[in-house]
Amino acid sequence: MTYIAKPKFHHPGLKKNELGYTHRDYEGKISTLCAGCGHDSITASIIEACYELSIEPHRVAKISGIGCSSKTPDYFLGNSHGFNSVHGRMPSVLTGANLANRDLIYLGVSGDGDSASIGFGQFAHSIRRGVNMTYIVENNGVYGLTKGQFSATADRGSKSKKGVTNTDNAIDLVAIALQLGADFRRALVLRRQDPARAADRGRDPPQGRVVHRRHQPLHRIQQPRRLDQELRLCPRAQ
Amino acid sequence: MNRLDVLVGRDPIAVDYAPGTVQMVEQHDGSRIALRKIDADYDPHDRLGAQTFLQKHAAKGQIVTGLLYVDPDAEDLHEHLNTVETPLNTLEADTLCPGSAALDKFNASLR
Repeated sequence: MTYIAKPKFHHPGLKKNELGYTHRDYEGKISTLCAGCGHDSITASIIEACYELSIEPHRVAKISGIGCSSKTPDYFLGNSHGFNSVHGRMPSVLTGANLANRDLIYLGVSGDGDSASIGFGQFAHSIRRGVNMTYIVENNGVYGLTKGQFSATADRGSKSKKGVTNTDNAIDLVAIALQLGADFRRALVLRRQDPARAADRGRDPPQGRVVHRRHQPLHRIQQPRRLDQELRLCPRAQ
Repeated sequence: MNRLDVLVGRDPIAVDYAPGTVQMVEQHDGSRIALRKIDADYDPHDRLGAQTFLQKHAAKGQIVTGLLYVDPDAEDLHEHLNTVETPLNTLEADTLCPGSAALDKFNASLR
């Protein structure tokens, strides 16, 4: 649907935040993900959170890796800085950007393949170094782009759409982050729109944050499944 | 050419439960998950306790929710590296590269 231009007009009575922006000012392009994909609900939550927190879009740098999850920064914060980096290498690119300009709010967007497989080392080292960032893992336990293989975070015993059982143990990114010294960690199970409020609560801690958002895949994993889960680990709040 | 997708609408699933309790949530496909909210007197400053809490309930198949751990004295990468408050990309060239005399002085301090 990239050929469909997103209309810029909006209702004149839309509610504005402290900066005078409406939530439309925090949106990006129209999503090209599959209809009903849980990633879009995360995108909506990020838009809502930034709107409610009255974050200035030009102060945000959104950096991602490769995968469906890493496409999503194109769908939110269209007026922010952005960089779609190499598969699994978002933490390194973000670390470099952070060292060059510490005044920006860094939003790292990744997925379970990007952070739990090819970028597992990057995930770990960015946490142990305490990079000031919000690390979002859009984790559905499955590689949707390549036809539904289990990812490294898929629960042991899960069944694929074709009935194959996952016999491998799952990587728990939150447990690992805690072990590596993440100094702010939040685990939430929320309604779809609630992550915005969760982000609001997450402002208080003095150090940055890593968000691990787990959602269920779209009709690929049959059992067990998890509702929207947001796990927040951090080093530093902005 | 794009094709139209059809997605049957479903109501959002929302739960509200007390601290220290387990909530079973049935999802749209009939599968169930167990959510475990931290206790009201949970200490979020105990890192080992947080690890134990997480693993103990994961072994029971429960997903824990809530604020698990906070370190109010945490430092970030810039503090580890002792960088200046001014963003490096706004510093002038002569500040970033003060010259050979400064380098000699620095090297001497390491001997």
